[in-house]
Amino acid sequence: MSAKASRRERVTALTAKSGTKGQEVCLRLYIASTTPNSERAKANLERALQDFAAQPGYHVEIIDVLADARRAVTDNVIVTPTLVVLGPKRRLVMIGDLSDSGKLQGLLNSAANLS
Amino acid sequence: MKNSAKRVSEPRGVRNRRRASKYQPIRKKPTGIAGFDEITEGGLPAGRLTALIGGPGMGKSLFALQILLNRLRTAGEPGLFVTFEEPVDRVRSNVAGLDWAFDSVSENQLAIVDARLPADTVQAGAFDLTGLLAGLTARKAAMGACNIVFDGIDLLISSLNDEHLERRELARIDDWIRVEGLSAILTVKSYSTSEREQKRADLIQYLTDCVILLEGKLFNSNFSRTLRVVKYRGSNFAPDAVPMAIGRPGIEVVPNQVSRDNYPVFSERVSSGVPRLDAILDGGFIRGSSILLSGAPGTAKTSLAASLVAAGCARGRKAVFVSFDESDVQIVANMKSIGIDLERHVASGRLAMMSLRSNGHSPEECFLKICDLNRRHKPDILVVDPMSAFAETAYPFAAVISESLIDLAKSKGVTFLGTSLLGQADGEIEASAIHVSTIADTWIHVSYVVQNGERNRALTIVKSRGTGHSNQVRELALTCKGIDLVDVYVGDGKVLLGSARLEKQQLETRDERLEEVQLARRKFEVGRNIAELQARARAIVQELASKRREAELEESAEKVRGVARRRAITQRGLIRRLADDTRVLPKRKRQRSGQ
Repeated sequence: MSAKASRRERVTALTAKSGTKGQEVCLRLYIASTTPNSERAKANLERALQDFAAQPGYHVEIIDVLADARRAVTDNVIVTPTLVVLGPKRRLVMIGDLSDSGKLQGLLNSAANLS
Repeated sequence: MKNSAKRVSEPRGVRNRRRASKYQPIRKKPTGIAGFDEITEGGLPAGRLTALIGGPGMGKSLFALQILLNRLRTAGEPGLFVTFEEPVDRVRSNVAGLDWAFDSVSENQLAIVDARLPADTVQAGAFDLTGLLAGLTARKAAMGACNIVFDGIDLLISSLNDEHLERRELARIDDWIRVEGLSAILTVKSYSTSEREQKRADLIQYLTDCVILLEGKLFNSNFSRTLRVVKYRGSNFAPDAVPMAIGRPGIEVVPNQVSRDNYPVFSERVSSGVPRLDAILDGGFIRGSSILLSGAPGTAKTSLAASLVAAGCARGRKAVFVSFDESDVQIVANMKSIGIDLERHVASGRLAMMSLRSNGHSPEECFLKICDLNRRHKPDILVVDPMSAFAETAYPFAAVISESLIDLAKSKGVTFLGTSLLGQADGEIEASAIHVSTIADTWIHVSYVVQNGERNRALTIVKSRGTGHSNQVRELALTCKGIDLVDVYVGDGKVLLGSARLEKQQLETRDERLEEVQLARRKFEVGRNIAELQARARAIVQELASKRREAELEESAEKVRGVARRRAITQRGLIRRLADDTRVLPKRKRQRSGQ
């Protein structure tokens, strides 16, 4: 099971229905596939996004830095897991395994305001 | 096991040693920071983690960057500088003011990696550094880097707020550098206030292989930096704090190990510029020796030092004159008034003068500046005036710095002269404040002698290794033709200087002359007496002679008279037929008369 295949799967699985409001917000989750922190982050993000299913569309990407190390350099990934919300003008960064759901919600709310 | 039969006969110790030999002793990489490599006996451990701990502004990042650069320039090892707090351009501009020519270093030799998290990053849970290390692995492979610095990573790790997690991340870094074969330096902030932070700093110290502490203290409003190796696994090191300075060449460390062996030894002599002083010292100072010139303020120490320098330069040698009290222009002007021309030597490039105000720099900074000037100018004579400027501050390393300075001079065969301020010249206080008197080869003391309402300078040679010297105090005179030593008058065993000497000189001359005159007079008198007596003696002799003649004459006259008397008597007798009655008649026949 290649990293790329599994990534594509997840991307399709998590893409919420695109809304009518504005542009899409890009959510990128950088993980290191082996560490427990990253596993937890993925799980937490999936759960949070399911709760947000009604919100306008998020485009979620999960990038495994261990597989794609050059991406880590170009995107300046320092710690894993890192969740980056790319809006048209701003960029929000959250680090950690996203176990603090309150903060995660807060981030997703701000992400909603970006678009 | 093969050959087990053969092995059984070996003693167990040998066998064990053979088995243990697959573990190599720790390999070290010289950092290129001279004093530092000496204290650590070779540099930082290769392939291991070193922690640089210090407060704000102590120079941790600078130190780490300097080591990376030195390794690149001396050993061709590319390096990575991963910055977690300072932006990349600020890292560059921080070192732009140094003599490193950092901009000429290309990115694929020494890369500065920006590993800063954005300021508004929110932390939600535990994280790890795997991503970073993955990226660094890629970079390292691309560059072939051998060394890496994590500058300011401690803040990032500390935001995990969990001791186990922090320990885990540090272990992760340690494992990573071992796997990648990198030598790594972490810079860690030390806190004096927060206990939590202190605990974290302690944690890092425990988990790394080598720990270096950079500290700074205020001594009497002078700021002084020190470096101390706290821990070095697998190696010996000098555990004392050593002075450190940050200057244009970057960080420099003053090691406090002074090697007294292997000094070049010379037998030729260096003139002091004062012929009579040279004569007292059997020809001058021994080349390569160290001279201490002590005395109260105003006792012509600077002038003597300038005289030595001028004499050396006039014979084509190079010299360095370091002054803490006056500017070089002032000194040159002052020396002109006593006939010492330093200006032409400065102009010819043989003499380099440096003026350091000791209040502006810490002693180790001054020392390093002097070392630097020495390195560039390569003099044969080095003068530091006054050397006690190092001792004036309440500085614990003063003795070390002075010794290091003399050691530096001796090891290069440079004749060194240091002047020292002393209050008085009594027995005990003659000991120099910085104990340099024990390592200086020659100690000359100039003092004031106050007598009869005037001050004169007296010069004494307290000690001079390797040369015989007079123990007589001499008067030092500064004239417009230069410095000269004048004979003192040792009248009745006491020493007289200045006008008292002149007076006494005149007095003695007068007395001498007086004595001479008196002697002449007495001689004359005696001569006269002798002449007189001689004349008398002659007269007496003549009288004697005449008396003798008289006596003879008397005798002969007596004789003549006697003879005449007897004749007269005889005559008378004859005439008076005195002898008739005694004559014997001739026999006649007796006639009977009478019938």
